[in-house]
Amino acid sequence: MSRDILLVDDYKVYYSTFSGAVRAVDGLSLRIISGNIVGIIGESGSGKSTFAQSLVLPKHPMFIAGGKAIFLEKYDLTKISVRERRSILLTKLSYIPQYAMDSLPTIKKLKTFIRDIASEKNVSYSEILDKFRERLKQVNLSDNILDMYPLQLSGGMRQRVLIAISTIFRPALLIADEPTSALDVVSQRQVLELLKDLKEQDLVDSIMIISHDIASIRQIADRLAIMYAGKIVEEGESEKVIHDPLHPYTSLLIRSVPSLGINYKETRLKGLGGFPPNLINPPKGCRFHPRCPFATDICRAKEPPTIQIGDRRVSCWLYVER
Amino acid sequence: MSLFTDPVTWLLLKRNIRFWVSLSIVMSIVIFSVVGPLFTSYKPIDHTTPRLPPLSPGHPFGTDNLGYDVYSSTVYGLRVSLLVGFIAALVATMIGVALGLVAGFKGGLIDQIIDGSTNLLLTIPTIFIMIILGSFYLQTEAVPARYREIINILFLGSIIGVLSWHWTARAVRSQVMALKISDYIIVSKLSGNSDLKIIIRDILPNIASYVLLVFVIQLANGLSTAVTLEFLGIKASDWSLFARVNQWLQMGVLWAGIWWAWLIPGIIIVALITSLYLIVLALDEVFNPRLRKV
Amino acid sequence: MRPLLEFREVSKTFAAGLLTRYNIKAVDRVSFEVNKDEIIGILGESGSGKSTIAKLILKVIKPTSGQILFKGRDIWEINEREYYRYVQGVFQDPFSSFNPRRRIIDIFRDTIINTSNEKIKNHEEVIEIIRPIFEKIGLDPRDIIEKYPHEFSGGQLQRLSIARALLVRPELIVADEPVSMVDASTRIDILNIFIDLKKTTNLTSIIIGHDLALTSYVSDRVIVLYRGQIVEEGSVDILKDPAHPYTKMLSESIPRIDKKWESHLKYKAFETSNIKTSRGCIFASRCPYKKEICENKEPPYVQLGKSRVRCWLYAEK
Repeated sequence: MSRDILLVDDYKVYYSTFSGAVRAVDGLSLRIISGNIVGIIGESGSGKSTFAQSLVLPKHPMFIAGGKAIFLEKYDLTKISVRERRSILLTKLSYIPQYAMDSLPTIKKLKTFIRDIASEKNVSYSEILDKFRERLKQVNLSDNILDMYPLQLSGGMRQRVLIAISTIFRPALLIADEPTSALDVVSQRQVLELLKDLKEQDLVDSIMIISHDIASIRQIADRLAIMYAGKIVEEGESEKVIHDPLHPYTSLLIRSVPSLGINYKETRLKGLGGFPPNLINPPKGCRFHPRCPFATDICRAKEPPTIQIGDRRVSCWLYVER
Repeated sequence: MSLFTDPVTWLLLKRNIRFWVSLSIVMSIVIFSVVGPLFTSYKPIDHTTPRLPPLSPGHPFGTDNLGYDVYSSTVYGLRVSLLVGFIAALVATMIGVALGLVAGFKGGLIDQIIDGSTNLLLTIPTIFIMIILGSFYLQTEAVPARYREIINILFLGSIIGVLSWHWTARAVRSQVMALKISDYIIVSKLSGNSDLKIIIRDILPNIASYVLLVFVIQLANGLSTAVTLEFLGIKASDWSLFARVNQWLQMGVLWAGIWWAWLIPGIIIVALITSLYLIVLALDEVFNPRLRKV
Repeated sequence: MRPLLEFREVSKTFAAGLLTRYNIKAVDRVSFEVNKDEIIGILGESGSGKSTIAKLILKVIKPTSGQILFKGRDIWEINEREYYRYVQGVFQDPFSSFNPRRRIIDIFRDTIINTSNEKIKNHEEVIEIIRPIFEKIGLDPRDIIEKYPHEFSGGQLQRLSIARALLVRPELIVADEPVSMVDASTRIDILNIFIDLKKTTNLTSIIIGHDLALTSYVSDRVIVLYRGQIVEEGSVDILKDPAHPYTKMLSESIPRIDKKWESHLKYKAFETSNIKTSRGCIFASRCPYKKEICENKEPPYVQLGKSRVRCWLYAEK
């Protein structure tokens, strides 16, 4: 049953500021089907974190400026009521925000934190505790952390606790925003492999990971979506996107991640150049054109359409047939 | 987050109703104290008809049981109290900021010396020192009457200021210590800037909003201290308002039914000090990013 | 040839703790040399002591023991004004490296006034002086006039940081995680600046970071730090074929863009529970190859060709 877990169409999220509306997400379309791990890759100014947060907890000054985001083929996240949102959060749709591991309530023992969640969700404390204990085993943490304070745990451990909590109710979709930044290399790998394991054990159906680190996310992602200036410029199976990138930004991005063993004395690499786009006044036409080595007149004038090539999508004039 | 360079801060301030209401109250009282005397021909020491109620002709605030006009007492008296309070705030803020900057930035021995002084000031009952110093100096008749008031005001304000800077210094010191470890301070050092330049150019502007806040607090504090001292007889002029209020209370004015004598000045001073504290709250809301309701 | 910078058994201990004071040894008897015209990559994760080393070199903090020598002179006997003509620094967070209240051009003017004796007045003169340096970092000085730090992107600010450091024409630059807070697509461009400067102005750089691939790209020699100690040191090739188990662990755990992780992770992450006040090797509690001697005695430095490793595995005679 390959249903759509999340269907996002021409989605727009802006911020109201004193200098005008910041168009953080400006026409994003994405489809996540059941059982997939999708990595949203973007750099600063791409809008990726805004996208994630807007699906779950849109808060002033952020506002949804257009488009649809249909969850589980029945909830329209752009129009959902507060009560309904509350009921699906954590149970069907789980979210681990970017600095979550530093925002665990520091003066509460973990078991108190779990108790708070139980009362919030109107579920019995013992039921949740049992499930949580199970999860702890699955994330390789021992039971006695329940009596500990977040400060006593390392970054990697706190992140695993959050992952355990967010999968207690076997959600259909887990959104994780930069789950591995600020962790050391080994913990990063642990956390990513853990996410994949949990999905494989059906404790969570699909996962959306937001990150700037394409090399680490591609290790577990089935599909990758590359974001630039509020839009998805390319999307497809990870292997294909990495080894045969279609969009110039994707290929430049991949080439600016050096592989181990390359030294400047043998090979000189080049980065992307230019500056991140201004989201209040984005460039006309294709937003990437100021930094694109292949930009032509039409790129500077009109925004490219999204082209479907097999099960891949790319938004670039290079692929439009005349 | 400075009022002086950040447009967002200014806009937030414009919208903050509490700030503007409080500021208006403060400004009205100050203006009242400046132009008030123009509306009366009486001086606080003039004897007139006693026990007149407020809104009597010529005596908008009435007179007390000795015939002194309450309006002119209030208006002339406020001037003195305001000046003393203002000078106290100025002195306390200047000393406190300077010492806080040096203590926070230099650390080490200097910090310990300043810290020691701060502790000293916290433990000794400064109000007694003010009373003693006040009673000593303010008695002199050697100085001609014209200058006596000015000198007394300056003197009183300075004593209060010199004995109240510790709170400011402590607060500024912790702000400075927090800023000191910022990368840009190290970079400033690497650029060859002397400590003095760093304090003035890199630290001071970044605590400017805080200093403003602290100054307003010192104003409120200085005012209430000035009023308290007057109540206790330490007054800058011969007849001071609150010393008089004290007399009135002592003379049983409450029971004698002349409530306007102490109530009107009382309300004014309470309104002033409260508004100052409300301004501080409003400023804090605007400057402190965590309290902002953006 | 005398080394440009030398660390001799340098240690730095910090006192920590609110109620009970205990000591943290951030840097533990570290010794190394930096020669002229080299790019040294110091590789370490958080807690390795790398930032402390940067601050020690820049005279922001003083060593608890040991000596730091610049061209043979103890740096604490060189006065700051002189020292900062030879040695400069660049820090991790571009946005906190500049006073948000001041315009970039005024910050640059400071350095110029402080280090030359001329009274530079107007912006035109400042622009002329900084123009040749700005060419090296790929920015146009006209773009910075009148602008405040918040008007630039992280990558641009970091370039400006480097330009500021270059104003005095230093002999040595210490860069503490210069690209960690900068977009991935700009990192190579910024690292290339150090490489170009080495070629054009004989600048010696010490680049501190935690990313293996980036360190392997930009360095001539590499020093690997773990919890305050040097565990391995040598030419950049040691990263391709590491000797020390910690370096091996890093190299096997980092994600490669071109291929997926092979086997499941076999290393243990660093937990505070596995700090033992051990008398042995600091990596022992996480080392898959540990032997009994590793937990009891600190390993010596063993010379392997031109590199050295601190590990019992190589100490067998």
